[in-house]
Amino acid sequence: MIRFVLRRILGIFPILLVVFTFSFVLMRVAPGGPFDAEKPVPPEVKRNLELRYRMREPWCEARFLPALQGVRSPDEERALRRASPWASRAERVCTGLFQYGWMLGNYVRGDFGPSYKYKDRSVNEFIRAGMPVTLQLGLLAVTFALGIGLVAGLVAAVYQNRWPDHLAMIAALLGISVPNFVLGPVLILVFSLGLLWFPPARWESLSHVFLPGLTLGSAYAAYVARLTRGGMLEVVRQDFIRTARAKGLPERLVILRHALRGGLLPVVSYLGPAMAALFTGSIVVERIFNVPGMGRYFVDAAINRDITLAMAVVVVNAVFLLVANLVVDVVLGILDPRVRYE
Amino acid sequence: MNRASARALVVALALESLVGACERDRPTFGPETRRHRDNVLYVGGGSEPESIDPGKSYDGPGIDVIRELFEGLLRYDPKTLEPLPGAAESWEVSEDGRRYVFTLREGLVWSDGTPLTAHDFEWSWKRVLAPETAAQYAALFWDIEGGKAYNLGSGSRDDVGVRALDDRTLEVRLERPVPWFLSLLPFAPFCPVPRHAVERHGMAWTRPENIVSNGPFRLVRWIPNYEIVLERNPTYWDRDDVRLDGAVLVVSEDTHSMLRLFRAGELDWLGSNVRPPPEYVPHLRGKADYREDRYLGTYFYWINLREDRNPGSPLKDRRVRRALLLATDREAIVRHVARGGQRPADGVVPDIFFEMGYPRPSPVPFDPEEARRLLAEAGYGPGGKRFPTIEILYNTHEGHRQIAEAIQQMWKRHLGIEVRIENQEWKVFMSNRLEGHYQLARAGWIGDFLDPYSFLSQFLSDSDANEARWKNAEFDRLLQLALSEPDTRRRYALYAQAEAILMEELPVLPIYYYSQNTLIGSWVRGFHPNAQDIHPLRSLWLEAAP
Repeated sequence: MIRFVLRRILGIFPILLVVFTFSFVLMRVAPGGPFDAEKPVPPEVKRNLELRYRMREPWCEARFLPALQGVRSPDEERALRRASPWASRAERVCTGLFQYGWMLGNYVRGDFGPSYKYKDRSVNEFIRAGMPVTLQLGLLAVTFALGIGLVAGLVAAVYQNRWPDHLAMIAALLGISVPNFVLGPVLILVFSLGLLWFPPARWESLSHVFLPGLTLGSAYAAYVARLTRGGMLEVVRQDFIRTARAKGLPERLVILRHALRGGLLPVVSYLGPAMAALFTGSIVVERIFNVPGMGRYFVDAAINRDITLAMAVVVVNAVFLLVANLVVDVVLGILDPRVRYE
Repeated sequence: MNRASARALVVALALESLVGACERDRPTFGPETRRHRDNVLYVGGGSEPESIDPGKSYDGPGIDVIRELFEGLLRYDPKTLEPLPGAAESWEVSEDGRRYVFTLREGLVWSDGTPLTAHDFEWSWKRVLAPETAAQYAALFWDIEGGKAYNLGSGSRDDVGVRALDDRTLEVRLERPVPWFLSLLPFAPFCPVPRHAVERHGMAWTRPENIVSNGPFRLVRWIPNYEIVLERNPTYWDRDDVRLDGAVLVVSEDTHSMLRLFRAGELDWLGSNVRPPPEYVPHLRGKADYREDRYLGTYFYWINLREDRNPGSPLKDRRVRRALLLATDREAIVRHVARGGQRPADGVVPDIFFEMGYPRPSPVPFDPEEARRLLAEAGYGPGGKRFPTIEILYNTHEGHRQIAEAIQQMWKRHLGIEVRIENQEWKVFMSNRLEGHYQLARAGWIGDFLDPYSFLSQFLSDSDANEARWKNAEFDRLLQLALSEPDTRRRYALYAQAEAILMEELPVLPIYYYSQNTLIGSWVRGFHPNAQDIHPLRSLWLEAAP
């Protein structure tokens, strides 16, 4: 088993490199740059910025498009690039390669680089500040998901086709189909603006975390409930359960000790990717409740063309996903005697 | 702004707030009394500041924080935004308007007790110009002698016309007279930065644990995308006049969540970077804690006139452009679409300047008849050429979409023109606009300083912000002439002539003058609406605060 884990850990790195490369290329080919703004800065000032953030590389310009260094306006630069498209392309690719190398070098040193938008901060700071919050929120959501989902699923399975089952499954259907950008504001409307039980947003005390946790966890709780019910129903029909019942074991023990172990397998495999998603945060919930996590950067950083920040959250998410899947595989092996580590 | 017009503005605004006071018994959107018990103001901060380093700032939220943490030679009058003495207690301007000598107050110190001297200002301003700083507002310093050359890498630091003559005297020499130079000085990039802290901590000097500042407040906490906490700076020269103990700026890009926080009483004021969305406005209007004021900005459409783009486009005909403007019912757009107290625009210089003596441009009527006549004159319409489909480009946003749709419908109904509207995500949109890949494109321009030049200069032939690439020698000449005209009225007259040319030629379709609407608890006192929506926290206080 140790060899299996080690091999899987080693396998993470090439995957990360692919993720890194792919997201870099996507960010670079997206139209619009990080320094395009409604009030354009003078081209010379923009040039200083681009040099500072490696969007321009003097060596590449000198090598492929030397005339670029004497250019004094964006129109001139466009005309020049249009006049020699191939040299212009070569210069762009060359600059991109330099930037790629620079960023990769940073990553190897554990540094995500400077943010392109937030000029006082490095990307590491954003991740360091946002990750603990996102993890707390994620953990809370997982707790809600498992707490509500498992109980509802078990009840539904035990009382199959009777009213508790129908009730639980209707709730689950609602949980899956109501998106969190609807659920969040509805919860706020009822519980904070209406009943004044919880504050409507922010991340300060226990009472602040309840609604966002519930909002984020509810969809997962619904899935967990359905998976638990399905898994349990499959297991209770099997022979070893009949044996257990035949031995005269009380039904409670049959369910909790024998059936649950097998019935949980689908939930466990689902939890891997689900936890990875929860632990990288949710843009919607973070925004609605003003939670200072890192989920928002998935969208915001990409919209701002903040290349380093956007790539960092993608890579961090990839790490979570890979690690969570590894953990799930290990746990499955422990729970399910049919699984062998190859 | 001259004195008489400034006074008129103050009186007008005072009357307005008087009216507000009489209507105190109207219902409120938020709570009727304050929820918080402390003497700390809770404000919506808008999106995360890009930078709170005065030298590097470029975004509204960042500049708002810098205004509290740092103080330049001058500071804003909270009512009129006219410059008041800040770190400088007095100044002299030479006859030709090109040499300024500032005398700093005695005994100024940084928040860590280090003396603050004229040398700090010299160093800070030159830092903005240093190419390696890559400051986005560097061009504001280009009027300083040798500033542009140094910023572009061809000049040297020592030739920049900023010099500390001694610890309390700063000399600034300009390339050309800049009539509004003093009104720039309270602005973030002109604030001093502490050399000792910047050199010691590098990029991390703006972190709460490292920052050293000289303004009315100091930074206590800064959690990215969450909050910025300020407290009164005990070393500020005018600390006894600062009435708040501190402020909490709640950072969030989600307007709805900010509105909910206000409603629940968690915010005292929505802040100047958060605007209630138009669909809320009908519901908010009439509430005692809602207010609507004019704002220094103009909403318009660029019309692409670049020679190398859209060959043969009918938009290159001036009569067609005029026809489009005449067929746009801007009154209806303002009333039924934008809905936030905007006023239909007859030009690009916002109506705020009218009270300051800026001549009102001749009104543009809504006149579909005349529009059709002009279109026929240009050879389109019945019996003429078929008008090709044109396209309006805007950045993805509900408000912009509604306006574009309204205009699409108006042109279709009144002129029979087919209009396609296309939205693009912000950076894609900006890139296409800057590259000239558009026919008509939405734009909004907010003034950086209280002079019409801030609005008109973008139409100069060699301006990079001139996205239509409209060129007019007479316009350029008039603007140039205005710059060397120290008398405000005569300068305004020149501007108005230039604007008349612009409205004749129409490289833009002006739509409305911006408004600023906000929610503010009645217990927040000392709040004065002003043109740039700038509200230094040092002049605010809380009623019945401990």
